[in-house]
Amino acid sequence: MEDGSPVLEVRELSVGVRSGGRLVPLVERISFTVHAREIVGLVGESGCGKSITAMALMGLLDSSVMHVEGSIRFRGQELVGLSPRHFRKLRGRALAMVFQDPMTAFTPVYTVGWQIDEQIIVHEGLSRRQARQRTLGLLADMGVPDPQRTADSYPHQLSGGLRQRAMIAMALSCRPQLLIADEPTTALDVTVQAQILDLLRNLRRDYGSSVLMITHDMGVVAETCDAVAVFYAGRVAEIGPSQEMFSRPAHPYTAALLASIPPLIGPRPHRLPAIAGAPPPPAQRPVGCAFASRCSFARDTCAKPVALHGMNPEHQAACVLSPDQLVFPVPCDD
Amino acid sequence: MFYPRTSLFSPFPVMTDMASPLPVLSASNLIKTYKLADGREVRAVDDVSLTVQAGDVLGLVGESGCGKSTLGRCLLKLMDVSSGQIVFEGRDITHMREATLRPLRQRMQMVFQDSYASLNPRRRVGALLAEPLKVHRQADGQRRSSIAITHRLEELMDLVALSRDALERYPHEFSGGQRQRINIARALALSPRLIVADEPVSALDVSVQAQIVNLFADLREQLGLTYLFIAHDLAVVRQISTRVAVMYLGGIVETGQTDVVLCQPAHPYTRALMQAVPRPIVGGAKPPSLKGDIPSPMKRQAGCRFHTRCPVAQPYCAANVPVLQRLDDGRDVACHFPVA
Repeated sequence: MEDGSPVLEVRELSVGVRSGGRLVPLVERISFTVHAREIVGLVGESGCGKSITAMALMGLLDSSVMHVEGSIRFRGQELVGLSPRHFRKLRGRALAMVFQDPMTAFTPVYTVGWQIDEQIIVHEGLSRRQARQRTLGLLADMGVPDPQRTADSYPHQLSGGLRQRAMIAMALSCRPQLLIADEPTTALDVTVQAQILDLLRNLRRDYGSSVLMITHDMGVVAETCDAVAVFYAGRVAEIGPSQEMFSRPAHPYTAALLASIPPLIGPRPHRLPAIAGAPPPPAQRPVGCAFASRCSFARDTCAKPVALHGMNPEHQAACVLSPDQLVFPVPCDD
Repeated sequence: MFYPRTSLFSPFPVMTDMASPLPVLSASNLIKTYKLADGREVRAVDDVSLTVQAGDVLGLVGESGCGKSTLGRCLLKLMDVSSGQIVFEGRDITHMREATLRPLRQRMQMVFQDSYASLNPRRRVGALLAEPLKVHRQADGQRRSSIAITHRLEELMDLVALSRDALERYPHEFSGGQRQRINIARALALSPRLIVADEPVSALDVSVQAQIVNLFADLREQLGLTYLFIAHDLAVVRQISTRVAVMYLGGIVETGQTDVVLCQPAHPYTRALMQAVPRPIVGGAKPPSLKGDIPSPMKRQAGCRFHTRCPVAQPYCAANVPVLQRLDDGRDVACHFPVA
């Protein structure tokens, strides 16, 4: 996809769960775009709908309880309403996913190499021997020190870092156009996390893949993503290029989230600027801004629904205030 | 939105004029060995000595498997050490019988990572918090009256900023942050001197994490508590701690004042840890400074425990074990070639 058209275009996507005769919205009318070789982050706290969005993209939601509306166009093909048979052809091939916990994502009863081989054999019709050659090459690309031994190991015999590398190798085995990485480094130690983030950053160069990075960690977003969508209570609060978002957040939630991270260098604040309260549960979300009850800028107009808008089409926020009205406090000495 | 107050070095007053000069807790040459089913042994804690002074917050940092949780549990005698000595408020508790230890237990409490698993789901919050007040007798040997217990429960709710009707509810009715407040309230019930908190905020979302970190800091100032704060998140540890100890493969590699150790790390491992933390600053990504994973603690290696991953290791490091040595700035570092 080098013609400039987006790899993934999500428009007005809503996901609801049927519960007690009514539809509880989990994700409400979200839109974002992933271009070729771009890393886009979906960031937010637990329960904000970021993982549900990933599941919808992969066609992994159970249609008997979940209701999906809107449009997901992947390389021009509509995924909403796609039959399970067609989805199976896409998944693992053009569209791949890496999960937070590689221990549960692998089958414990087969070797890691066998599982990667299997994927290649199913999708590309290679022989077991040819597939193993590719598996070993992939593991080496992922920085696995001894690919042969790792391939012959069962998941429980590998360290967390090696398991996650093997998981990414499996996801990349058929050179997907889009890799969805759901909290890929959350279970890893910080020095290993640094290695995996470096690996993900280099995928676009080495494999030409786009990455959709789902994370709760603003640090991970800043260090890997070109663009970010900040989720709050199932809606996109702010969306834009990382550079702009981190230097000039346009939604009070983004700003408050950034402020609540303890600084690693420089002066330590006496108290952390925490956000009081907690996000509303899905069944109790207000019609208007869901963040209003925790927002220091809240006013009467926040009770009405507000659409994403902004100074430019790239960087938009769902806040009734214009960016110049949002003067965020800067940590000061008194 | 709050306007955070900042001071360049420590956000907390340094408490030097404590009534008792005795450290709250000190440990010397602690070793904890686990026996595996196949007869092999793992040294989870390998010759650790540390001192926690009254009013201090000692942050214990390190990656998974470094032995920080095992150390925390050994220090509170939740498990027995293989060798070494633990002194709590001047009394050697290393081999103390459980019956003798029980009155001391009131003065040392623990807060765990999993706020849900540490609360019995079938009991109301009030009953959970009353439990320690019923089990332990007062200083005069008398049991607490039910009025005294009710009164204390209400005090505890106020301390952790939960409403009093929370006492009538069940753990599942609360969010993760609120449940951690309940766990903290339970730890505070008997007015302890020392709290060992093992990853108390790592399961929480960032905005809620900040609330709980602030609560720990407020309670310490209000009640004069001393903490051993175990965590893998360096930014959180830096925020809350007056001193830090960095662990790697069972041993402490660097320890001292928080700002000294974390702002100018002398040990290459501390330095690598600080560099590896992703920061919310675009363009701040650095190539990873350490290769490979932490070696398995099952295979003990000669020389410095960090030499297999150390970017500045010399042949000397593979053969000689570095011991903690005091530098001019008061920190201790176990490295043959500390960064000046």
